[in-house]
Formats: sequence, C-alpha cells, structure tokens
Amino acid sequence: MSDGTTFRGVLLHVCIAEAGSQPMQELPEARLVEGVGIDGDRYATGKGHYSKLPRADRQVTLIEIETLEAIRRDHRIPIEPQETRRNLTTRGVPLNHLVGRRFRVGDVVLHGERLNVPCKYLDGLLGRELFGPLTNRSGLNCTIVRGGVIRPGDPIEPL
Amino acid sequence: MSLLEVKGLEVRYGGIRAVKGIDLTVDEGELVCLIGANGAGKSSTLRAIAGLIAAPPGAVRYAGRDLAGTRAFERARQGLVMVPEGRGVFPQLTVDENLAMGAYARTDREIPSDRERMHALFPRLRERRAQTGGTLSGGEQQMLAIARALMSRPKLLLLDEPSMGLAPIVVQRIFEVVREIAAGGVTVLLVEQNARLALGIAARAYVMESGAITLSGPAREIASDPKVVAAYLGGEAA
Repeated sequence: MSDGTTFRGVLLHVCIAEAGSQPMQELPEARLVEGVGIDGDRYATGKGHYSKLPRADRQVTLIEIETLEAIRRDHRIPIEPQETRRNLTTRGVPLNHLVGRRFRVGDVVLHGERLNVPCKYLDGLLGRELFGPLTNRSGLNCTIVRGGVIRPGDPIEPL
Repeated sequence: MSLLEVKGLEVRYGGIRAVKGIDLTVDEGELVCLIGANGAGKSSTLRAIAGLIAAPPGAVRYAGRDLAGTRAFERARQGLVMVPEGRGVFPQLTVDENLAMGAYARTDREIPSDRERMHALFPRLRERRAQTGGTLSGGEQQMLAIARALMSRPKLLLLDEPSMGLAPIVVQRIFEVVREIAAGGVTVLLVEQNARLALGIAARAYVMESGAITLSGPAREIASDPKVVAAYLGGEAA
C-alpha cells in the first residue's frame, strides 16, 4: 500500500513577525533559509515567544485557510491569516497528513515535522477563544530542506 | 441491510448549520468512507452519530432502532463506538489499563484473550504494555485508541481521521489494520482527509463539502470522478 497523500494546493499568504507578540506583517515575497527560518522572522533571529526553547521545527509554520473559514463560519470568530501567528497560509493542502513528508512550495522544499498545537498565548494576544476551535487543525511545523524565495500564488505539491 | 441509516441529519453551532441535512447509510460488514476538506463537516457528522451532539435534527437509526434520546455511552454499549480525532487515550494509564477501559462495560470472561488479540494486532502495544499512554508516539497512541475501541467489541466502528499527524510508514500500518478489522466483520465508517488512502480501502464513499454530501457511490468510481481527482487527489479535472 502506498502512502498516497496527493494534493495540489496554493500558497495564499506569507507572514512574519520581528519578535514574539509583535504584529505579523504580510509580505509579497520571502526568503526561506535552509535550516534557519524565514528572513526577518522572530524564529530565524531567536526573538520568538518560544525561542528560549529552541526547536528546529519552528523554522516555518503553516495553517489552512479552510480552518480559518470554518472557524469564522461555525464559531462566528473572525480570524485573519496574519493573526494566526503562522507564517504561511495555504489552500487545498491537507496539512494534518504531511508529518514525515517532504513537499514543495514554489521552489522551496519543506519537511513536515509535527502538528502544531493551539496555545492559550494566542487567545490572550487576540482576546478571542480560539483554543478549542483550533484543536486538531492548528497547522504544521516544518523544517526548511531547500531554501529559496516564495510568493503568494506559488503551487504546493507533495514530493 | 443497513446497520446505520442517517436521514436529514443537521448539526448546528449557534444558528449556523455546519451539517445541512445529510443522508447516508452503512450496511452491515461494509467499510464506508466519508472524505472532504478541513471544515467540511465530517467530524461533526461523526460526533452526531456517536451521540456527542445533543438532539441534532434528523434521524440516526442503528441496527433498526431510532437513536433519538440515546446517549453516547448507551450507543457505545450497543456496539456503536467512535475513535475520536486526536486519539483521546488516557495519558496517565498504562497501555493495558487503557485497553481495560475499552472493555469497561463488558462482564464476560474473554477480556484477557481479547487483550492478547490486540497485542497480536499491534505488537508495539505488547512491547509497551506497561508504559503510560502519554509517553507513546502519535502512531502508537492511534494504535492504542483503535485497540481500546475494539476491546468493547463494536459492531460499528466510527474512525475520525486515524492517519492525522502520522508519519507515512505508520499511516500505512494503520490503514492495513483498518482493512483487517473490516475483513474481520466489524462495520466501519471512516472519516478521512487523506482521500486516496481512504478510497483505496473502502467499498463505498461519500464526499462532503460545506456541510452537504455532494457525491456518493462505489469508492472506485468516486476515485475516478474528475471533480474528486481535481479537488482531493492532486490531479487535473478531465
């Protein structure tokens, strides 16, 4: 039996923050550095909220736009991509099924390391109760296997 | 004969209809999958069938009986058992204690032999039988969650995203086991976002989008439907 995870998705948004709890800013393009993170992002510079507990799997984080749409629709909680604290927002990508897999975002190659888990820290920052609605669909933490420049609109495909 | 018959099922969160009056059936001995994107309403459907959503509009009939007013634990005692998304194993209990919890409602003397059967089905659980659930890997926790459900001797097993967050090699083993469970006579309703794998082991399939069933039929036909290929299997629409 093959693993069989197949999809064809797209990158919608790229966001970084200069430091933990600082607002995320959306970028028209970003450079991903292999083994480090996203140029200018708090986890590439050691200024993230969790940087005192360094882990390679915080190099880049992703979340599905479908999750944000479902939370808005089913729980009536508005949440914008830049508010999620995740770096990349995707459409058509089953992130929960990419742990242990490599996939391509434009010319960049990422490796799914672990499922992201929601934290109360985000609830406190935004003043919204997102912990429950984000449970089991809080996104994916990845390492950067091959760096490069990515832009919204880039295709996302498994390797 | 249908073991499970769902008619006009709705799930509402506040005034929002997350599941919009769906119909589905699962025949005795069948392996049926429900596929769809994140947020389509798949897990809500499963939770409603399991009795975890209070009095949803619509009808759920199981083994010929209307389940309206039947609570989740009563449904489980009747053999309708769910393995939830995210596993839900007891982190402080050992593997064998978790298995014993699955047999909580049973009074027969075959519980030890069933536990041995689970150890044979998942040798990793035998190796880790004295280890607490919280210290297991994600794949081992999924194995334990499925084994714990099987300890109750279900007639209908509801599986919610069993492959979520697992490495490819573990996913393959989980799906092989799901196929073995179904081949052993347990009826299975499998909710999965990993459409290719689910369609590969199911006899029939339902596709769910925005709270509604948009397509249903034999899994092989669904797998070759151009819209499904384009939306879920990474191919081009014909």
